[in-house]
Amino acid sequence: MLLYIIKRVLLMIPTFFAVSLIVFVVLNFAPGNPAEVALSSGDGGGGGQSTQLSSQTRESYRIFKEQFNLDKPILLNTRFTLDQKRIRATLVDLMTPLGEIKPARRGRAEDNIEDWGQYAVPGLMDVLRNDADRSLRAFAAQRLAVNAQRVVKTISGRRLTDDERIHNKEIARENGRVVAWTFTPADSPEREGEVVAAWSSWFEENQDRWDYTTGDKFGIFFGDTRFAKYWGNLVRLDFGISHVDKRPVIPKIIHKLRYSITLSLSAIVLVYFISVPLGIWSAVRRNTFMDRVVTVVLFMLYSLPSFFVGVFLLNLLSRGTPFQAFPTSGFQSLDVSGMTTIEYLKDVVWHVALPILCLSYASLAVLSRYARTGLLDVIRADYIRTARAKGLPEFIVIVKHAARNGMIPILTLLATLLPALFGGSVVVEVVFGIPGMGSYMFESITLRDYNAVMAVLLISCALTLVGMLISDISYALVDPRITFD
Amino acid sequence: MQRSFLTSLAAIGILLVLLVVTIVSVWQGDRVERAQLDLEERVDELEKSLHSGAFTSSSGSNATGPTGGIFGAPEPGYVTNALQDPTNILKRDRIDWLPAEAEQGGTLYLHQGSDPKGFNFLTENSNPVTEVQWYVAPPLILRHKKEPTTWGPSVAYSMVSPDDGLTYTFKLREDVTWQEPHVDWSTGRFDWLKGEHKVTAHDIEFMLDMLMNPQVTGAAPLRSYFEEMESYRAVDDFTFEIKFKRKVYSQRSVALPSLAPVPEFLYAFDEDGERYDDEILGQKFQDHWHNPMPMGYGPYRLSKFEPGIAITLERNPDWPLGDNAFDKVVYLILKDQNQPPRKLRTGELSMAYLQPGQYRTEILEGEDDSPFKDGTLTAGEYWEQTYFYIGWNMRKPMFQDKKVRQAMSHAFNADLLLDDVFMGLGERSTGPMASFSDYYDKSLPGYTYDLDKARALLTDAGWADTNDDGIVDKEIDGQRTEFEFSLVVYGNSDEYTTVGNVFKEDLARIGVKMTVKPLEFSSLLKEVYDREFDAVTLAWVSPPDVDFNQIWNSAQADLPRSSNHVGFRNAEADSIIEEMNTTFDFGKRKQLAKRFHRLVYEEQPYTFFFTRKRPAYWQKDLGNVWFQTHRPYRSHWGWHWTTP
Repeated sequence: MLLYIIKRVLLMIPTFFAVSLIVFVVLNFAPGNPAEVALSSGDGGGGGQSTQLSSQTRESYRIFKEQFNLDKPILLNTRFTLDQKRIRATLVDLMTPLGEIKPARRGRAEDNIEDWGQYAVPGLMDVLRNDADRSLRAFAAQRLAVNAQRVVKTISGRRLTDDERIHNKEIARENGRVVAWTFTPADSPEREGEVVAAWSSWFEENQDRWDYTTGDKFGIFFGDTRFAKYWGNLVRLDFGISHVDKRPVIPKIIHKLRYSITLSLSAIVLVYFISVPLGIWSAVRRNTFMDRVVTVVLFMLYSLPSFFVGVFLLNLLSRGTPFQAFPTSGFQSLDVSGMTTIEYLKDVVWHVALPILCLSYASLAVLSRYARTGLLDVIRADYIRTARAKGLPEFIVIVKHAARNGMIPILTLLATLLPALFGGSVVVEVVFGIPGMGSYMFESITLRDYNAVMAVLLISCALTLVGMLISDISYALVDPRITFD
Repeated sequence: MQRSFLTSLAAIGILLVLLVVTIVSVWQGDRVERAQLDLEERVDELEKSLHSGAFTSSSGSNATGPTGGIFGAPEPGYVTNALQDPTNILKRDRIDWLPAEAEQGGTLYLHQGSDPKGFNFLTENSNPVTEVQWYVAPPLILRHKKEPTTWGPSVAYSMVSPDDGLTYTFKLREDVTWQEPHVDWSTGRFDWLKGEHKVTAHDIEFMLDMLMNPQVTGAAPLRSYFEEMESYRAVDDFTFEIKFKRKVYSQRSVALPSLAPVPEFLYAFDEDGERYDDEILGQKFQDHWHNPMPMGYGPYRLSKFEPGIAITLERNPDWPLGDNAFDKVVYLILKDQNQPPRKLRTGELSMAYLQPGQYRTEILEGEDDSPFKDGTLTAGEYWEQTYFYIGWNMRKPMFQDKKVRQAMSHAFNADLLLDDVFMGLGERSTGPMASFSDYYDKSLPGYTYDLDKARALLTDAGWADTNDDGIVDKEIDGQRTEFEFSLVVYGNSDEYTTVGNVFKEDLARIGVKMTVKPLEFSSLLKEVYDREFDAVTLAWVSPPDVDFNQIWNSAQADLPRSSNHVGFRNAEADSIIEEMNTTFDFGKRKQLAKRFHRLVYEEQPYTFFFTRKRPAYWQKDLGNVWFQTHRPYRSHWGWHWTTP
């Protein structure tokens, strides 16, 4: 048994890794990225201003990408192979007069030269020193003045050490210097000579930054990518900060969990308390008229979509015409500071009654069917006949002998509900205005908040894996006929 | 076996008993808790009234200066004098925003559709944040109530430009103070922030420092309006000067009005009061520790923000300009569009507008005894500075001919769609600005819905069905091309999809095959940015003093991601744009804009659709409700509760 558990836990690691890989890739390939969302005027709904990237805006866009590793390739990095030919082609794309080049291609070239960052420096140097076209050389110098700049280091949450501050000052000084080493085709050849000389000596000085050994290349190939950087943080259990408000993701999730867990847990308890007795009752009276009525009603409930029921209940019971028995939205009243514990509890129950109803009615059908079939499986067993033959009352026979064995599948289902507890429900949370996990997830996807989406999905994934393990183990614990040895 | 069953029953019994005991004890404690809470509340109230000086004078608010608006401090003499100075560009608004008989007090409940992402007003410009900014940290100058192209005083009371548009000198009021920062004073960690800080010209200097710092990524959209800035400086504590290299109208209409003080004493420091190094100041400002809460000086102070629930503003008693009637303004965050009408009915919202679908169910088809119709709610409307349109990608061969674009407009049943899909909530527009704008040429009729004319125009342009497949075709670059294209619509909106489907049927009747392509917003933007689309339905928000440069300039046509996504190129249009850029005279600007309107009307790069109005409803006790014709539309400066 122990061996089995160890095996399963070990298997979880590659599974988790594979899931994270798939989610990460899908997320990063979806159109739109956080940088675009952050720089557009934020007026999502159907209209709004689009972003027009002027030179200053472009610089901010580049810094934003750098800050969140969005300038790196997603999975594998081959930028150390960037050569003069490739760089030159990109520069030509950037210099082609607008109108003679497809906008999409131009946009790609702009993104590329920015994203390549330092990797493009040797190629740019090559163009600057050796190319026959003077305007291209001038342009290469202008690009170098951007690409050769290094990023200053900032760390959220703690102050920089003195060493780091000194290092930052050095970087800033160097950035300030290289930014001036540019010339235009209209400038004199002497000016060009000065600029090229400045770049050349700077390049010689820092040559080792671009002399990649095989080990470096290997490291860059796998390591200098979005996915690797993400995992690098993940192993330290750092889920990163939100692209949207720049706050750490985890405290926000914990705050939202409070709402979602209250809802899901109550719904699950409610469903079990109703559907298990109901299922047993139906099994005992199987194929009678009442059993059929219950079945039909449950399946009708099952087929009602929750957004419809939610809106229907709210319109019927909360808006005053005809009734105003429940609040229109929220998890609790706006101001709860003056409430005693009991008043607060009453307030919360009053608020969450309808959402819980919405969350639970559909599962009633499913679970009570499980309970019913579970019981039907055992009710014809020999030991039940024996119990009856002993002269035990029917109630004891059903509750003690039949139900305990028949409910095994139901019990193990519990474990698989773990991720549902965490994930919340998008529809119910939005309709009832409860700021839980479901609506958080939904918003994060529309805002392309990669870190938030990844965190929620990965935690869900981990919980699913754990839940499946628990459910398998509980089978073995409850039913002695099942063994893993 | 029998015994173990009994034991488990007994265990359950014991648990139940324990549960009952707990409940009883909590119940017992409840009364004590109640008494304690009541006491605390009384102490709080006492403290508050002591703090606000209610014991000393509650009548300080009755001083009615010439305009500081009511509830403000008396207007200082230097402000009154400066406003009489003819060289001052800022003029006193002829209409009081808040009527003299207004009463102070009460809570106003409004709503927002999404959470603010943080409250650094320089780096955040989503709708909920800008609306809060309007009350917490209003800009230096304000548009007039009825004439949005003239400017009035706010924190600045004087704005002069001796060389007519190159240098501007602002004078700031000396009685505006920064509100208390949102920190936990009890730990002593933030003692370095204590004390009174006045709003000064240095705060504007710092704002521009941060604005021009590329590390402040959030400020990028605004930064482009300051490209022509030459220098800026605080001349003294309350005088600020800004110089431009070249005079451009958007400086006065967009750049200067967006100036707002940003406090250096807070944003340049970390939590322990140590100044950030200059190399990282921009990044630290962008992600500053105080960003979850705003820092302001205006008529209201944000007192509480609960994500997904509500934003609460409280009146700032120290704001000298007054005009803040409510004790509290609460923005409920309602992500489901179905909530506002429900909460209007229950009184949880003071004012809200209805979506087209809701307008149908509540008003057009609603029962007569509903609160919307029985007098519980007052009805009104406001217009938004928007225009909806279908843009034709003029890079595609089929849309290069203006006859084709005109044909498309004649095949578009705009009136029907506006009435039946958007419930008549708007007005047909025929040009690139809101239909109620002063710059709009009202003499131009909308393109009529006339399929015969559309067919004739297509034939004129050389499109005919030569191979009898029901679709018109034409030889383009030696190749027979069928007239087939797709219309990209915003898929999250039913209305747009319906518009697309109706248009598709009309087009089919003139032999054009169109497919509707609903996309989520990010994917839609990608198609538009990459210029891959054939046609797209979108909307623009136009500023009150129109600026055609961003959308229509030929120079923008080939830039990736530029707003000229249809690729409009027209030499005459460019010269009008250039002239408007440097024309400051309102009358001349109007003439130029109308000329531009007629030109675009003829060219039809867009099939112009309509300008939207919002049907608004508010509780009948809410007084003096008026709306601005620019953002924020529902500015509640000037609203107040009346006692019935």
